Amino acid sequence: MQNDDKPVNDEQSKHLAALDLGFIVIIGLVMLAAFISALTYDFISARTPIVILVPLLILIGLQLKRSFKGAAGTDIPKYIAELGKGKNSEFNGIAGFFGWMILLLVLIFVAGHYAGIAAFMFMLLYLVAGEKLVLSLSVSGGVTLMVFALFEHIFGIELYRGMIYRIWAGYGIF
Amino acid sequence: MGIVEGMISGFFQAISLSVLPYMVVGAAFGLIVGIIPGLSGHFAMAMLIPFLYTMEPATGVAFLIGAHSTVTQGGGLTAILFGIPGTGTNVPTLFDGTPMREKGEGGVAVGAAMTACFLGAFFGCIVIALLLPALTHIVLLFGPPEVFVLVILALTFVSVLGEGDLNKSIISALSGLLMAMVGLDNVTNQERFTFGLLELHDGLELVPVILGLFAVSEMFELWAKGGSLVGDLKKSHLSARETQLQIFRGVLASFRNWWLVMRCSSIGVVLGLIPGLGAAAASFIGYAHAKQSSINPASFGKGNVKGVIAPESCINATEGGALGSTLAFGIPGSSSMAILLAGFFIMGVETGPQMLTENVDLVFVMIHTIWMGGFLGMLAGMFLINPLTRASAIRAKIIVPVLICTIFTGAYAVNFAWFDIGIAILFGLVGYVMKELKYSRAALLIGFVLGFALEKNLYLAVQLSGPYFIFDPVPLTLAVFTFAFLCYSIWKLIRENKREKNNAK
Repeated sequence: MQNDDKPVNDEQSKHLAALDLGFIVIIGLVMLAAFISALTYDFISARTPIVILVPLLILIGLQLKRSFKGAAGTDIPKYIAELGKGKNSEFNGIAGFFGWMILLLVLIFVAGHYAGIAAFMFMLLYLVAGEKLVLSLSVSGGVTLMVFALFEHIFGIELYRGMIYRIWAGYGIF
Repeated sequence: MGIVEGMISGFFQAISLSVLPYMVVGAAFGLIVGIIPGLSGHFAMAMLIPFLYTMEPATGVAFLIGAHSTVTQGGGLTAILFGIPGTGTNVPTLFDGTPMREKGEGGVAVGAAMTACFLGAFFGCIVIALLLPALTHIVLLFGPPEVFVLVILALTFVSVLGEGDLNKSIISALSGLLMAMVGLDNVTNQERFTFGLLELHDGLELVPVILGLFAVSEMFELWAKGGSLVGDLKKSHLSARETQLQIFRGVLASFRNWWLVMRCSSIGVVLGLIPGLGAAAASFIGYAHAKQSSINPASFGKGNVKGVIAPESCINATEGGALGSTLAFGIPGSSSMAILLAGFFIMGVETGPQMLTENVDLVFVMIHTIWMGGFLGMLAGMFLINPLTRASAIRAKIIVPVLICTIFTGAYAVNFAWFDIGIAILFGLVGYVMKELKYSRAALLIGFVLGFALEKNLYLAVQLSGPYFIFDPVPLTLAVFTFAFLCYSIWKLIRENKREKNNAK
């Protein structure tokens, strides 16, 4: 049993080490850009961000050193190449779900909030989760109706109608 | 308004028809969220935040706190019935709750846990109500220099005492502070870190950030894990009659162990007052205390009802303490309290001295809501065990799309801006990675919420007391304490690392 588990754990620790390194590098670059940007502000506006950023950059440097040490046994370029080829199922799942959320954003922008969320739920339930057609339709339709009743009628909040509706209604701004 | 008037007015507001139904809905929602493993108190509160825009303050706080007060009760139910803690704070409940269920005493454990939770919440409320008169005087001693140093102290506590790595926690807290700087500077009107985006001129919106960090990130995890939220329901299913009889025995057990409940609740209140410790630490300490003080410590871990009562009474008592520091100083001790503070901003309620002197009735609405929520949770938990547990059998692949749509609707409704949905997605991804890599999301959020206070009070302190304000007696004392605490924590960390290295050799 232990022998079966070991490769999985190794794979997982490699994955975490690579993720740790990638995350801290991105955070470090963002904070460095923020620091350079803060140097161009007025003294009063720059004071607090610089006071925060100096220790933050030092700590990120320390963390970077630790992450490099942690990822010592991992061939990062090879690992990234494998991610690109879709060989890591966990990464594929997360990236796929992120893609679905971006699609929902686009659907809301184009078709409006209600049509967008109904279509999104139906696609995810029916196409991805493989649920039955009746269940997928009733869940997506029921939840959309609930959102409509709650926001439009109870809270009086008008949700986004979408680009298509706005073009038909004669608006130029979306 | 005096304390007694406020207490009475708060009580009648809490039971009024404009507040009570929202409290009940919030409590029911919190209980269901608590039952679903992986979803925690801050998730419940984050989900409810978008609804606050149209609510009166009393209604809004009852709605929010009602949900939060029952989450741990729901978490306790799953810890006992499935061996899966619904929230991180319920882990110690597992140690004896699961063996009790295996011995066929699941109902006793549930009854004891629910009652202990309620009694802990009630005790915490009494203590915080008694502390209020003192707090109103203490708070007046705190001007901008003191609040500035107190914010630093709170962040140090959150970073050091929170879960996980110290370096990562401080990185999170400082990143949160920096996030609060995004947008137009209030003093100079200069754009900071906006990347030329008009949508960022007013800074990052709290609600999409909260929803992203605590709700969307959980959706990533649930989706990736897939399957059913809870495995085999049949294992834990009890007949209705047997369940009710056992629950009654559990309730009696909690009352019989009243002295243990009092001791553990006191631990909870004290730990709740300290920012950063939170209910999770309190529940472990409560469990350890019960075991240490028992005449038969060997029975713990084998189905001792005291092992369920102690952590559960600790957990809800921390709410009273945490509420005290959040209301008095505007400094949240946990991510849930940070979300509550965000709720106050949304409803236009200001914490600090004004809160304790001008809105005493609202403070008491919160205090009454904590114990009433606990009471509602206790009733619901006892009588709805079987139907409620079925909620956690819903497959993740069904629940995630529904929750995502609800979350995005909430994010949009804040400003009617779909840019905010993008912010929720971005912070959802960041929150997920932070959780995977054990960076403290609580520290990031608390830093973000306190960032506004930090900059405002630094500016005011420099204007009022000059650049050497730090050498005034109270700020100096707090600063020395913060520095000493940080140095001690670093020294402890280095010592532990050395010990680990030596052990490895």
